[in-house]
Amino acid sequence: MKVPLIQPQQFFTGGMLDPNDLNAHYRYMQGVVDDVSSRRWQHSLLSLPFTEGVGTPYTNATDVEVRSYRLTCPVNTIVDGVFLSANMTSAGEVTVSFQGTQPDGSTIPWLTTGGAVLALVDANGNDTTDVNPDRVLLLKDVEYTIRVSSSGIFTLGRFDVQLILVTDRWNVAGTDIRPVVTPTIFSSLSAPNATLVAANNTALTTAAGLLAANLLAPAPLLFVKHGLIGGGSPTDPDICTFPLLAVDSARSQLRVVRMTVTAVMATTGGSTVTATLRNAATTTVATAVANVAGLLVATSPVANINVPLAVASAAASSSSSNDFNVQLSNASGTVNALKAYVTLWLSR
Amino acid sequence: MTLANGSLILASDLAGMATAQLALLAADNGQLPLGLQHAFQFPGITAALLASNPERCKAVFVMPWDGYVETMAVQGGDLTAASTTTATLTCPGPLTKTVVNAPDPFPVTQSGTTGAGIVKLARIIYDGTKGRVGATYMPTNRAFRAVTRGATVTVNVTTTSVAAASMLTVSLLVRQFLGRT
Repeated sequence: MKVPLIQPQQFFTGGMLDPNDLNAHYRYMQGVVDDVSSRRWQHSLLSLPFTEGVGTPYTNATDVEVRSYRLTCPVNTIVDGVFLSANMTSAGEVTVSFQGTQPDGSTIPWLTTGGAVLALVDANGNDTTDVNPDRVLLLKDVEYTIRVSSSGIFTLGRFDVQLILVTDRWNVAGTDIRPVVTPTIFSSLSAPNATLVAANNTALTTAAGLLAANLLAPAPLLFVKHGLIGGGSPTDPDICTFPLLAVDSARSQLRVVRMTVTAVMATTGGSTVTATLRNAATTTVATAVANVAGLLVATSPVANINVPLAVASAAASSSSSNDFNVQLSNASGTVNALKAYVTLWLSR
Repeated sequence: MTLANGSLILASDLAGMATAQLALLAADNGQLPLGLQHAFQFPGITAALLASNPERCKAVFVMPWDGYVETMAVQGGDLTAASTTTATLTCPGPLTKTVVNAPDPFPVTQSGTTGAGIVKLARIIYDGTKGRVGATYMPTNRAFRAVTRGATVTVNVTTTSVAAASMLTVSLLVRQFLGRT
């Protein structure tokens, strides 16, 4: 939807300039700026799968870093709620919590099974679920770690944590910059004053210009691969490559504004784990590199990018041949990554 | 144009002011929809695992906003040659039926032959052409699927593959606008 170009008042040579003519324009612009800028919230979903695979679940023996996800948001991001959907058993309570830095609004635990889960499904055939609707604020560029834990034995056949996220295009770093204008309204008693007209003009142009700026309201997308073989293998690339769907640029907007990769190594001594973003022509358009040399866990440096995922038409956007893709690779010849995941942030 | 006391201000100056501001409003990219992608991964899915516990071969999420599922894309990586893989999206809500009198909620299903390497199933959802909802039939490649905020959405997958070292990815492109709340 675009704002229609409706000009409530025409100014023409030979006409009588009444103060109300100017007021009509000012009031119209004030209303439209307020209306349009109130559309500010970007909702999104982040899925964190806490399992290695359909047949290889996490257990209490799984490395603690493998049972964790690290998340660094490019803008202040509100978790509007978190949802657990699991098919699992446990001898005791299994919880999900933030480790280390606790974001404002979080609780410990954040999610819980509420006790032991003795059967994969209950008597009614339902999975294990939990919901926490508390709002949590993840600050811009702060790394948070989300981990599943338990004091007892557990087997997480499927354990999906779904974060419902909200970002505000007018408040990406703690300061509300939503454009608000209060133009000076003239009356028939007002003396001619071009300075006030100019001030109104500047204020409205600035506000309208803010709307036209391509402000960030990004949403995340995460792909994970467990067992990223060092040095690659003939079969690895095909199971370490994930699609990024192209969108019709005439009807929609989508671009990658940040990409990070995190790797958890089996032992220290690895070299680098890379996420490579390629376009439909398989040309590399961006990379993120986690330097894991001598480390068990590393995340690539945070850097913002700008890669449009655009094609020319709706028909093109529905064709898989126009997909972008992101691929994970491990350069180490000897050290496997227990887990590697790439987090992409998508925005208009 | 300089709007200052003592200067000559033409009607065209004022008209230009209004036009320029309206043009900036019209250029607001924030009013365009966002085709946001969700991806669900099913690593190592096999027919045997599916038979033993189909509950593991699904993903469940709560829809955070009112949106349209514009595309469902299924990509298999190194599944067994000539295997058949199916992904099914179900949720309650005002979905567009593909066939009159079909059960409600009706599923969105994508199925095809998977095998070695990367195989992408043919996409069946919105291709931009116009369709006719109602009368007798709504072609599957012409439908939006509306999903309402708060709906519980389920993605189920099945396969005849027996390859444990495999990766199945189901992606949804969900269209939405910036919200007021």
